[in-house]
Order: sequence, then C-alpha cells, then structure tokens
Amino acid sequence: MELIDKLHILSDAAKYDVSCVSSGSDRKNTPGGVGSAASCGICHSFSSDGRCISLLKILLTNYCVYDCAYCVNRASNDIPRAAFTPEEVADLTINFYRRNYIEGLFLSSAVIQSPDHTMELLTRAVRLLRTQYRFNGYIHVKAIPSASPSLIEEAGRYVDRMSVNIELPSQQSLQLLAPQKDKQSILQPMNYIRSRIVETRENKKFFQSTPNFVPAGQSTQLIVGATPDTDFSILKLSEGLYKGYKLRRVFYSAYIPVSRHPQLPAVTRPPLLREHRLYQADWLLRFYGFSAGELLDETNLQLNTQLDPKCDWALRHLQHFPVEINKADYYTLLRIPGIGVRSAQRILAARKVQPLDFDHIKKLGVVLKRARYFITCKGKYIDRAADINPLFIEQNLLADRSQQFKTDPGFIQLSLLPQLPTPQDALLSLTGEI
Amino acid sequence: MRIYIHDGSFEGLLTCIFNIYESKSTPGGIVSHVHQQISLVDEQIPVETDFVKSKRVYQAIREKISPTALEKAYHVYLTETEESGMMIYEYVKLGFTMGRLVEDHLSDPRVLSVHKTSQRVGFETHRMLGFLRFRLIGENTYYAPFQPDSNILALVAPHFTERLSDQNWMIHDLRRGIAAVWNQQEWVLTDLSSEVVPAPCKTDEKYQALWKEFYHTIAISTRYNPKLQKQLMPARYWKYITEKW
Repeated sequence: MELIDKLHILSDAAKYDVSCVSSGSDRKNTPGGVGSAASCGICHSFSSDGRCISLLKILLTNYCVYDCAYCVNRASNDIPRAAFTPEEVADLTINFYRRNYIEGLFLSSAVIQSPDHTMELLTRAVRLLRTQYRFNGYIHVKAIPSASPSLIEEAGRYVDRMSVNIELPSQQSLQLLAPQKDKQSILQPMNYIRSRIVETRENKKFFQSTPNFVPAGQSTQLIVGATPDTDFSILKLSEGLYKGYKLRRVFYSAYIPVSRHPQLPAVTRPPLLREHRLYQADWLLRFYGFSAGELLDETNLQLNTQLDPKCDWALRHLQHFPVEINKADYYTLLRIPGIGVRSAQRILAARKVQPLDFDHIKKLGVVLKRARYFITCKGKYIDRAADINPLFIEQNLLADRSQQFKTDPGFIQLSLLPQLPTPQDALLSLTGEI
Repeated sequence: MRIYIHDGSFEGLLTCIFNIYESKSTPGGIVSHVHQQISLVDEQIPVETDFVKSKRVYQAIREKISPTALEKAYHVYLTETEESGMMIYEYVKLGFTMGRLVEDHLSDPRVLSVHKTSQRVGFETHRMLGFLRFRLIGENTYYAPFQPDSNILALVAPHFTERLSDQNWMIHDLRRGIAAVWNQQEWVLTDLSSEVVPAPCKTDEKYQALWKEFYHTIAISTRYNPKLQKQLMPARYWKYITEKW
C-alpha cells in the first residue's frame, strides 16, 4: 500500500479525536536536533470545518479488537484497514515539521491484538522519534486503557502530553455501547499518569536532572449526544476530573453518526450548539471560579441553548447584581456577563489611575450589550434602574441573539430525549457517574 | 504645521522625537519619506538619522517609562502606517510625564490605540509562526515566502533559528523585498527584491502531496464551516499556504 493511501485511511480514522492542543510544554531544542515546543501552542492551519490543525493527527493502526458501537473503527465495521510502521510515522512527522506544516505529532491507535501490544507499538514510535530522529517538537500520545504501567511509564518520558479517552460519560453508557470497556480500565492509567506527574514535579524541586514525565499534562474526551447523559452529569464529571485527576483539558465532541446501531440515537446533524455551550461552561469552571453545582442542578439538568451559561447563571442570581465596576474584586468582575479574563484585568489596571465610566469600559473591550444590565459605574446604571428585572433582561439578550441562532431546522438534538428527564433519571445518571 | 520626515528606520523616527523635544516645537506629523506628501501649508522638515540621538531616546523610553512601553512603540512602528509616527510620539510624550504608570491609562485614547496596535502586531507574529510554509529548494535549503500586513520578519525569524537550527533557510517578505537568512550559525536580515519564488524540488512535491491529502482528510464534512475557517485563517494569507494553493 502506498504511503499516501495509508495516510488517508489513518488520518480519516483519527479525525474524530478533538484534541489538537500543542500548548503547555516548553521543550527546548538540543544540539543537532530538530524542533522545540512553544508553551503557548501554535495553530498551523484550519481545516474546512474551522477546526485548528496543529498536530499531525493519525492512528498507528485502525485494526481493532473492540467493537464499540459509537466508534468508526469498531471490529464489525467494514472499512479499509492499514497500519504505519514506526519509521513511516517518524519520517512523516519530521518532514512535515521541517516545512512548518505542523507543531508535532498526535499519535493514537486502535487496539491491535492486545492493549499491551498496542501500547508497545506506540512507545516504539515515539522512542524512535525522540532518540534516533532527535525530534524535540510536541508529541501527544494516547495511553491505551488496560496497558501495563511500565509501558505507559516509558512512553510518558518521551512525550509532552498523554490522554485517555473516557468517551462515554457514565458507566451505563459504557455498558450499553462499549461492553468490552469498563470505567476501571480507563481510570486506572489516568490515575497512574497523574501520580507520576505529581511525583516528577516534587522531585524536580530537589533534583534538576529529574527526567520529564508528560510535562504538558493529560487530557481526555467525552462524546456528547450519543447517550442520554445530561449536561449536569457531564459537567460534574469534568469538574471531578479537573480537581481529582488534575487534568489539563476535557474535550467535548458532538456525536457524529459514524454508524447505525439500535442503541444509538438517530441524529441528522451533530449537536454543535450543545457542544459549544459545554465548552463555555468548561471555561467557567477552569478560569472563572464557577463550580458545576452553580451552573446547573438537579432541577435544571441541561444548559440553556439560547443564552450562554454565564448569562443564564446571572439571570437566576440577580441578587448578586449590580456590580460596581470601580470597586468589585477580580473574581466578582469575572462573574459579570460580557466581561472576560482580559477585560477584567484591563479594568483592574485602568481603575488604579482613574475611576471608570461606561465610555471607558466600552473602550477596554467589555461587551456592554450583555454587561449593561449587571453593572454600575460610579454608582449609576447605564439606563433607568427601574428597567432592571429578569424578564426584561432576558428578552433583550434574546433579541440580540435571535439573529445569530435563527430557528435552525438541523438543530434537533432534543429528539434524543423524547421527554425531559425525570428526577429518577437524574439520580440514576448520578449514581452511575464515573 | 511642521511635518518631520525620517528615512523609514526606527532610529530615524526616534531622532525626529529627539529633535522635536530639542526644538520644543509641536509636530503636525512624523512620517517616513514613503508617506511624504507635497503640501503648500505644511512646513516639511527632513531629519537625518542620528544614532547618538536615537539611542538617547531609546534608552530614555526604556528606563523612564518601561521596557514594555518600548516594545509596544516598536510594534507600532512596524505597522508602517502614516499615523504610526504620531501615535508613538503622543504615547512617549505622555509616558515621560507619568513613567511606567502610562500602561495603566487604558482609558486614554493615546494609550489604548498604541496597546491595541501592538496587540495586533503581536497577534500577526504569532499567527505567522504557524502559517509560514517552508519548501525544500536544494540540498537542506528551505525557502518560505510570505506577505504579512506589518513588517514582522525580524520578530518571526528568531523562533525558527532555534526550531529549525539544523537546516539552511530563508524567510522572504515579498511585499517589502527583504529576507531573513539562516546558515545554521547566525541569521541576517537582507534586501531581496526578487519576486521570483523558487520552485520546490522533487522530494518536496511528494511531501506537499502527502500534506494536502492529510489536510483534506482531517476535516469532518458534517461540521463544514468555511466562515469559521476564514475567520481563523484569513484568506489574504492563503496565497503562500501550501494546502490552500
């Protein structure tokens, strides 16, 4: 088989992996080597779906022993199969890298023969790149669930980031769609990687020569819309992963129908808006000091698709508003709809030298369209205070949105849930939460 | 109105600022000779670049204001617009009265415009680190053409001296006719007015084909979103992006 055909098959099989982040590592070039990593990450291109291409994202092979219903590479699927040799992977990576096409390699694999065998192949490919080709660019590699810790350990010393995909957000969903996997086999490598990262960090304090172990941390991916899991249980899970497992990122992937299966919902288009809202909520968890329990609760299981999660939260908690721009602290500013990390920092800087009014903060980049209902400058609202009530604000915010999200006939993700989940459902999905 | 005209270099611009302070005059404009316009009412003052004077201004900005203010002023200069000279002058003038605090005066239009422009230049530099495409044109020699909005060649080149240190390369700004050349030891900035883009060699065509195959395969057709793609990778850069030819 020609290299170009292999590349076609194995990048086609890898494209549903969302992660394409090349940040978090500042690996330096070595004498005679090629490449370096930029800690901010660099996007090299954007494909026609608007997603960033920063890494050469390929599978080592798409021969798979598992038969997970949601996955395009499942054993029972009749598709062309191929496998790269480690040399081919290294050659492609180096030559793409030298032309500045990519920032590094994202190597994943279907499970061929056994998890250990697969992990060994992956390790061999990254070892070849780092030692023989002296490649110092970014490498992200998948840790295969149930692979032995010693193999994960070796791969971890060569790569910048490792990830284990959870894919399905609850144990029931796993049983339903991926009966050969269980949550233990997924969480165990995650736990191992976390403990080794912590250990390496501690050791580095005393011994500078401590070898690196996954310096850019680990990440995971959840599929949204293939199972009836609610946004609340997904966000709870993400929060647990960030806090308990110290993950750098949780990626959300709108379910794209790659197969027909009686257990899978009939979706005509991926639930992109739901995915977008989850990402917004994810940012609120990581950078804005929100907790999952604040954004959603047992009575309110799904994120509002009409309003962004912060606006939605603010409307339900008007008792915290208005916030006085010239007095509030950083985290209070961050909770105002229309104010992000950057504008909050600018406000902090600018108000040191001068009290701010609405003209000023508009120039600083605050989105007044949303923020206007929630703030005062020098004690005054922008409009008459009498107008500030939840209904009025919501109507105005939605009026602004209506242009953006005109009733979209393709957006029928609710067909997944014929009726709204009952509290019992909620409890079930909670107890089954990974 | 007095219009100060410099030779287009950053030192020339700083010399203008020195002369303005020395003569205690109010400038009507500080422009490079490229932007010089014939005018009956304005008094045009050509300024010869003086490295002693420019160095004094350079150090004064760094020490009396701050190193970041100097960097921001330099970024504004790189945009090569007609207004950039006056923007820098107003910013620096304000800076000399209040020191490093000037960076907090974000509600002042003189400060905000400099910060925004500097941010734009920094953003383009960062983008180009990704969008630049090298092609193999000879034995271990790579060539990358580009046409950035601002004159960011000198900001882009150092990134590749570390990253691609074991290959000879040249980054060519076709719009300004300048190039950065690296010979595995040091890099130099040189004039290169040729507009001929060297053809890639045979091996390079193979990898270009592989890359294009990858690029087209990795897109998910059910998520097709060309508007987002163009927003993130503006079409004006596509001319030299291999996968977009």
